[in-house]
Amino acid sequence: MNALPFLVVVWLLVVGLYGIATCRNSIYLVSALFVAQSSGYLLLLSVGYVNNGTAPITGDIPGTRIMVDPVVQALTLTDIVVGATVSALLLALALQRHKRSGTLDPKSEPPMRG
Amino acid sequence: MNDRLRNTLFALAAALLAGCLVAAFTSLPTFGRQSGAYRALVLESMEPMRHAQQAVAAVTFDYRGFDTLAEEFILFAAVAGGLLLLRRQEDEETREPTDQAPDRAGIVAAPAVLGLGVVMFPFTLLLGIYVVLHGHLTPGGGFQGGVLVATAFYYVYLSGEYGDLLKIKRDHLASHLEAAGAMSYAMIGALPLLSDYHYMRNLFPLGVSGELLSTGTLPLLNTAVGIEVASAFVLLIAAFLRQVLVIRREKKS
Amino acid sequence: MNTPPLPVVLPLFMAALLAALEQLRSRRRVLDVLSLLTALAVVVFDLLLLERSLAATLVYWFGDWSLMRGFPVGIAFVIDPAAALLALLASLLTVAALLFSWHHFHAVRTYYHTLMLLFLASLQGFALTGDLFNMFVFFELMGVAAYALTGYKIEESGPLEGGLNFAVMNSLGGLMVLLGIGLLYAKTGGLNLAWIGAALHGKPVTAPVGVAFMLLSVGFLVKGAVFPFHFWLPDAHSVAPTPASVLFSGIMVQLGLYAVARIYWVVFSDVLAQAPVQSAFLGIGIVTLLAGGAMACLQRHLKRLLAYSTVSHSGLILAGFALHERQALEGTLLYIFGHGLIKGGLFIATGILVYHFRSVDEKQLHGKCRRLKITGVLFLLAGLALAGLPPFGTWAGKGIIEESARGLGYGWLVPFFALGSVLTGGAVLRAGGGIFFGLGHLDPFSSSAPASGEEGAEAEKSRGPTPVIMILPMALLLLSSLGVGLLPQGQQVAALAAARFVDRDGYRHVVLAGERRMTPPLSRVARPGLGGGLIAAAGAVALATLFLAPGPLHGRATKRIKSIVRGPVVLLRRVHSGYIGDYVVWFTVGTAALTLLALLSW
Repeated sequence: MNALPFLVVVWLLVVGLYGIATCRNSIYLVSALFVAQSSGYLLLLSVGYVNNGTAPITGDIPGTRIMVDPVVQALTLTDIVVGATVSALLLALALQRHKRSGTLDPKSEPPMRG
Repeated sequence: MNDRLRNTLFALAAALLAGCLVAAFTSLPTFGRQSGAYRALVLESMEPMRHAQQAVAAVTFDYRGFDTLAEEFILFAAVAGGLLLLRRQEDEETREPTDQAPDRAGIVAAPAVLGLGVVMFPFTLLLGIYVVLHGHLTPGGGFQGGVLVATAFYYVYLSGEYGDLLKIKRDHLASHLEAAGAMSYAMIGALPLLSDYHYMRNLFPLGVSGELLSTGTLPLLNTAVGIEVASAFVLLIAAFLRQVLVIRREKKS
Repeated sequence: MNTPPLPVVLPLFMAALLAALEQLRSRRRVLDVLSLLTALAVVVFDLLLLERSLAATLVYWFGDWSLMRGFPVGIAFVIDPAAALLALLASLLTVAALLFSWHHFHAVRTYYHTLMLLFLASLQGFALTGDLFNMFVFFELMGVAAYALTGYKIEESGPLEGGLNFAVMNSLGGLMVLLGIGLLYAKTGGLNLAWIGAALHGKPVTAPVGVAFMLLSVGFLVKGAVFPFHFWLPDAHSVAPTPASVLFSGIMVQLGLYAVARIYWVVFSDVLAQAPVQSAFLGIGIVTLLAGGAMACLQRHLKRLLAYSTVSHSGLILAGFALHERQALEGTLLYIFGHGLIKGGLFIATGILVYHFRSVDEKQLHGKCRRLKITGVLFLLAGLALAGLPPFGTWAGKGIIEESARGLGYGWLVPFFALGSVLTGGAVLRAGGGIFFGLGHLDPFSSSAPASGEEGAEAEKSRGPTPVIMILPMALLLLSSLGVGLLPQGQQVAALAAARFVDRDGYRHVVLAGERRMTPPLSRVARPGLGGGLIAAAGAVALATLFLAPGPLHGRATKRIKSIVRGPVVLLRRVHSGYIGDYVVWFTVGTAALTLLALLSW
């Protein structure tokens, strides 16, 4: 049970890698990359979880409570922004390439090889 | 590599990698029993030192505010890059958006869709602004609220009134707001330099815990980020829309 | 004393300002001047930081969040001479790139200047930071700006494809870094490099620690473009606009390797046993060195040739770091400096060719560029310098690394280093001899892979003389590289930087206790011998002659050589397939092998 979050982390990573390794469509590739990246979010959040912990906000509820780690949440937030922006750029590249060569297949005619 | 070799190689390597990672992860401290020094110090010091009640916002904009500066500029770079990549090329021209289906006369949004858009737009906008401004008190903040504000403008697109969205380009107000948001974050961080403090020091009055104007620079930074994020997403969606709807390659004669 | 944040904050601010001043897009010169002034200001800041860091390592806490009960709650820049040196190299190359693009570079609105400044800021932040997550953030900023710059010429499919491969591979690298950060955070609860190192110190090594080191290394090695993580580099560096290529090949790749070395020394050097890291990285380095060199010889697309030569030199730099010794580090730092300046100059030369002929294809240009005398001579000189001709910085650096390798019992590395220099230098000399002097006929090996498309969008074709402002940065870069090798001061700074770099306890002390500890003065500064450099340069000339020579040499002997190398050549070409799926499989294989090594050895 304790290993479950970490198993999911590894699963997401491997599935994402598999998606990229076998992709024949750039849009699919971007999604697969995002799946792989979500393993990073999950790892950070799992690492910062504390049993019975609540959101690290004191405000409305007085008294001492156990709170989960706010630092990893901030790191995850940063990483989500990074993932989203990279996806936007990748989609822009894929869209222009589709217009240029009429295909979304990254395997068809790499312009440079060797 | 042919497909079979690639798949075999990948299967072997991925199985090996997965095994190693599982071995490493499972020898971490037991799930749910972490007691990191960082967490304890932040939770303990944020209220007395910064009158802050929302630890994630305190970490994002105060303890590790410099990370967030770079993060904001990652978004800024992505917008500059996205607009660069999605520019109209020389052999392309812009045309009026036309309906791709031949059996329809023009683009008319159904009244229900239009109505929903009209209703949702102000509420989403308001919610977004609320989330930005209360980022240091409740879950949310500049990034989340900024995305909500941008979502409000997507309702405009969904309800079929995208003519205005298509006009949002580099010299549009949204673009200036975006740059202004990014610049103000960098400048707010630089203000302490004038009195010989370090960059990003939280110098503003801390106020009363839990009030809107408290925790010093946090609300200001949240607002700067909110403006940046909202206009960044509007700019990006407009650039993608232009590519799909109005930019067409000239027919080669 | 608020200089430390300025090299990052000023270009970030100016980038946003330029974007806000969109109205200036028609006034190109204003943009040029503003961005050039910004880059020059960063050079000045870096020089100031270097000067101050020579006296004592600087620690700058952002937001004045420093130590709370001994724990670093904020983000710190930790500026030792090595960090300042690399930051300085980045800003110098940016100045050269911006000078070059002054003339006839087709700038789309304000995007080019904005992205170059953002890129500069990310390089600075990455070099100067002492915080692991902050490093990751600047790694990603570097990436985002670089992907966009790579795809700059959307009119061609090469840049789009190259940008895509670049972005996917580097994002995966970033992900590995993040997983490594997660593991280390779980183990130590901190993000500051010095803190993590101190927290791990003296504890028994467990699986997560070794795996975390390998994951972080893999992430940064993707940026550092070593085998088998290097495939994206030739795709990207060969199609990016010239000024961007200058920065990519001159400093970005090397910063990836620098990060591996920095993390090793500060965090892991007293935790993990040294032998497995050393053998793994030396092996990877040598394979990279040879594969990159061989591929460089097989190219006719000039920028792709240079890109593969960067791969080869990356291998050498990794091997230099992997010796894990002060003197080797000194040599490696010098080498990075010397190589970056020369590689920048060579890329500028290809930009000049694009400016005149709209082509960088060795075959198309063969003998057509005779009138570009100065560029031609500088190009050949740079080729020799790449091979390590004394007294260029590359010679000094490589000589010192070799001396250290011999001292450590790794003398067998020396012939490999020489071979790498011969291959990369020879390839450049062959191309230069053919293009600028019409020497020889076209060589037998570089015949496939034609240069894709015309290099259209970068500049208009010009028949006039080369503008001085294009040649000037190239000449200045070569001259600086000469200075790095020739002036004893360069070597003294590198020696001090290396001594401070390996002083792990000193680094941790200055961050976590705030006390400055003086590094013990160096007993002697080794001067490398001339012999190795001369032999490597002569070898490069000989290789180029073999490629170019007509007549008897193309008889039986060449046929034999051809039949021997055909097998490996075909294999090498096949492996560099240009398909992202293959790259990811190689990436997975490499990562799996390194993590397995970590589990087995620690």
